[in-house]
Amino acid sequence: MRVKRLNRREMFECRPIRHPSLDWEKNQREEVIIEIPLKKNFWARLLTKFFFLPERKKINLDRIGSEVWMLCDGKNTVRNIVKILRKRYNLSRKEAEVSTLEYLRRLTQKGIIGLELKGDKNE
Amino acid sequence: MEKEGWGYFGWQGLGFECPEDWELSTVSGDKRRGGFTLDDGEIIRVEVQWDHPVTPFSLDKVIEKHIQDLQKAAKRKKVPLQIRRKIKMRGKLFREKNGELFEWKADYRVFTLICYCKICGRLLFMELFFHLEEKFEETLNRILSTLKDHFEKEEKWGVYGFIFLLPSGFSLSKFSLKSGYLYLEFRREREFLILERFSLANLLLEKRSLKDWFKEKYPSRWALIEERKERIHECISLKFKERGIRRWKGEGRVWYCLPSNKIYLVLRKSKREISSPWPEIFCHAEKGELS
Repeated sequence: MRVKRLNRREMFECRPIRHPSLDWEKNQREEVIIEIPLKKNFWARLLTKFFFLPERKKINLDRIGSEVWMLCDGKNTVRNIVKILRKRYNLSRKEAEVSTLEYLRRLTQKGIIGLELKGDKNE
Repeated sequence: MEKEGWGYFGWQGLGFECPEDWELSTVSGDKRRGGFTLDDGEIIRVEVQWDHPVTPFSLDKVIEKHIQDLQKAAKRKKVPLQIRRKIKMRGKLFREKNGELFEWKADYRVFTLICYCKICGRLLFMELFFHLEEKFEETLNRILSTLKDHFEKEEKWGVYGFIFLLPSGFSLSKFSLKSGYLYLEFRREREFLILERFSLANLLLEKRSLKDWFKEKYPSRWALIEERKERIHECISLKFKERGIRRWKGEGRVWYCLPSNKIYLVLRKSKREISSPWPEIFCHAEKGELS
């Protein structure tokens, strides 16, 4: 798969979108819980013969993480998300940008979200 | 007080008003020799360097040398360079200084100020960057007219919107600027002044009181002496004495500022009697409740 390196401006114009095949739900504290199917390699398959291995693992997002997750609907750009968090939590530009970009980068690396570039539906 | 859309940046005795989104990106050195840059998320907007030269020097030569370097760099990059020199400077700042403000255009429009202050002995080098098509007059004038390179009494500091007046005689000894958490430690002989700011206070506190949060966060050597709630601030005052050989004595104030959604902590500690006044903190639009 082609991986495109984004510059800062492109990154801000991207629209983060949740992986459509992932199951997720909200708990009573309005925190998002995502269920990720575990990949089974040779060793995992071997281990399942002797031990119980769960099919899925759960990731529990904290409050802000859950809010960002809800905003990753393919409609909001990264810039919008930063702006919303900045206003909601009274953060400085850098505070909001640094933490949001780092968080989105981690979610992207795990394959939980994708980034849609304007005019590029295949990213 | 800063108007909406405008903030204040102050570091090591140098301060000015600037657009709110121009925030610190790099910092180096100390009060004697150092520098910093501010960016707006896209480009570097301000670059400042300073020094306190000990040996005599010619300011004209410094300026000429800088202009020659610019010309050489432009020639090497094959970029056309336009320089407009000796731009008239107004304001109190420039009356007590030798120096020159000049403009040069290449990829950006840059205003360079090189000046020497006869009072504080600081040789200042400041560059302000604008896009070629950008309106710059108001911003430039406001920055230069509010620029101060020394303070008569208390130094005004301002970093990421954390603005405070530092009692005289203190100098920065340690700092940590993280997203959501700022820590600045100042020292005057054997006295220390520590300032901390936590963002996302509502999330940090959740349903706990400030007192409970503080007890969890910091060791139990503190004795709570007062707790009060105001309209917009929840405050606690503290005292502590350390056991053992070192025996630090200290006083602290912690408050949760609702409008800015931040927790502020100020701590004074010393081995002798504490003589320094509390720093004044501008935690939101009005002055912080510290007294």
